[in-house]
Amino acid sequence: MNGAMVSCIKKDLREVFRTGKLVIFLALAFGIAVMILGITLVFSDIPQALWEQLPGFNISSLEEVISSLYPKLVRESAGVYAYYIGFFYSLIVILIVHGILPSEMQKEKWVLPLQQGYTKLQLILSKCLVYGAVAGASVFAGYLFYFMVANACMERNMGLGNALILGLVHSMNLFFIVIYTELFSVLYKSPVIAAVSMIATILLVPDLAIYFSFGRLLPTYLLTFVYDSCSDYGRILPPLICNVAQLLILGLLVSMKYAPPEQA
Amino acid sequence: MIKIEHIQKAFLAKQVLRDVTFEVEEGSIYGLIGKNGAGKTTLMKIMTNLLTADGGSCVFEKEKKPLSVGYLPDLPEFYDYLTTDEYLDYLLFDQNPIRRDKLLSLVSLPKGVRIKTMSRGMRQRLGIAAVLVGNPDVILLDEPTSALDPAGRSDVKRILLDLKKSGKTILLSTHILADMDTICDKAGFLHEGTIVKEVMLREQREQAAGLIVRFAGDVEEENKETLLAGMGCDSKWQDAHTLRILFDPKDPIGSQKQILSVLSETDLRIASIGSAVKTLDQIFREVCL
Repeated sequence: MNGAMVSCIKKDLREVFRTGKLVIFLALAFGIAVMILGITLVFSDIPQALWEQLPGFNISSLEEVISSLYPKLVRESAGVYAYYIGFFYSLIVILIVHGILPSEMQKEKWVLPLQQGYTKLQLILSKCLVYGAVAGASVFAGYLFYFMVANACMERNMGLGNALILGLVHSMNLFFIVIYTELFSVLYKSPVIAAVSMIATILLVPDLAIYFSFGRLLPTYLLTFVYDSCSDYGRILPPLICNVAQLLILGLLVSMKYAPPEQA
Repeated sequence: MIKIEHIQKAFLAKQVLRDVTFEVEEGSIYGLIGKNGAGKTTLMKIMTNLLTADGGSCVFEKEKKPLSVGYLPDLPEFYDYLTTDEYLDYLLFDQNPIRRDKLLSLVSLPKGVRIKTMSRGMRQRLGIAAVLVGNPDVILLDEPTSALDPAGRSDVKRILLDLKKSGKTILLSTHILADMDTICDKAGFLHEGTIVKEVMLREQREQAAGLIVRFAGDVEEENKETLLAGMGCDSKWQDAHTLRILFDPKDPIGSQKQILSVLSETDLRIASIGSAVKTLDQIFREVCL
């Protein structure tokens, strides 16, 4: 990595720390974990409490609904947490990052750095790497925290190794989501279109893709993999390859658009 | 030498620059004057390759070697979460703390001040330091004093004169014509997409051509005649209390002595004496309005 890239990453890390974005990312990941843990542990007592207050009340169907929504088994509960991360965390992170690069370009913040020798590609790449890494690391920490607490309070049916891999896959998911959002935001005319298309993809495609045989090859299958808390790791490879290939194509398009002008 | 030749630029149907041609002498300060929307910023962006011209050329070279160019936009945007030294370090790829300290001292900025908390004047000075990071030969400044208070304007003017002394060539645009009068060597008026007039300000300052004398109250006809006769050079009454006197180009010192002696003997009360040279403001009104 050259000196310009290192300086750029250093500057963007300062941005993430000093503008409070790291705190937001961590608070979201841990906040969602605390919320689901709380709901799971409190809701499980509601049918019993209702039965005590209303003797003769049939609680079996209610118990079924609650146990399916917020199961008290670690593996299934971790899947619920992963789903909430995929839904709410992604949504908020996309809304935060989609405007960063277009806003910097529009405000001409790049004029001075470009004069001193930075390239647009370096500025874009650094922002993608830093924001992607911070979002991914926050999710990894949140997932492990959730696993530890769930392991202490719920019925254990998941090993630490499995949790580590699932946490890693989900952090990769968020890493890719952030990078896609930032790259789309500089490719499309409007960053809002980038945000909307990313949100639609993340929220709709994982649920729809499971109905098709090729669904397991799509990058969004990595989300489904974590939602289902799978342990068949061989399934990770095809969507991961597809994801990397897709990212390379996108990177190529961005570099074609923002390549430095040829010297006359 | 900077040579701008036949620059043209249109945005959709609007022809902003029709045919801009001018030259800037090396080591001088050139002022670009024009109304809002005259195309000053567009021209500067073309000169720094931030925009592409539809036609024409910009040549920056000295003895056939290309000159480096630095450009500072009118309201420079920084990364507000960084401090002054961190920002310059970033522009220097974290590799030259000595140069960073020199630049900060040149623009009189302290280290460690968060950019977010800085005044406009300080930001403008930081912008100048940022432009100087690459040590460009030519510096283009878009409205460097327009958003500043008098103290800030004075600081920026001092820095620009220091840069000129160190051999930099500066091209600046501003609405504040008084600033141009005092620091620029030459000014060009950009109007309707072309340079309609150029004024050699350095020569004007060095060779004042005459005086404008303003008397307190209206001067009677008899006194007017007496004064005109006594001056012995080209002079005329602009109105009832303002006399414009032009020195004799063949003997400027002699006519200067003569004028001062007539004025010292008169019983009329003088309200003010100024240079008869047209101010940039007057020329601007003539050519751009």
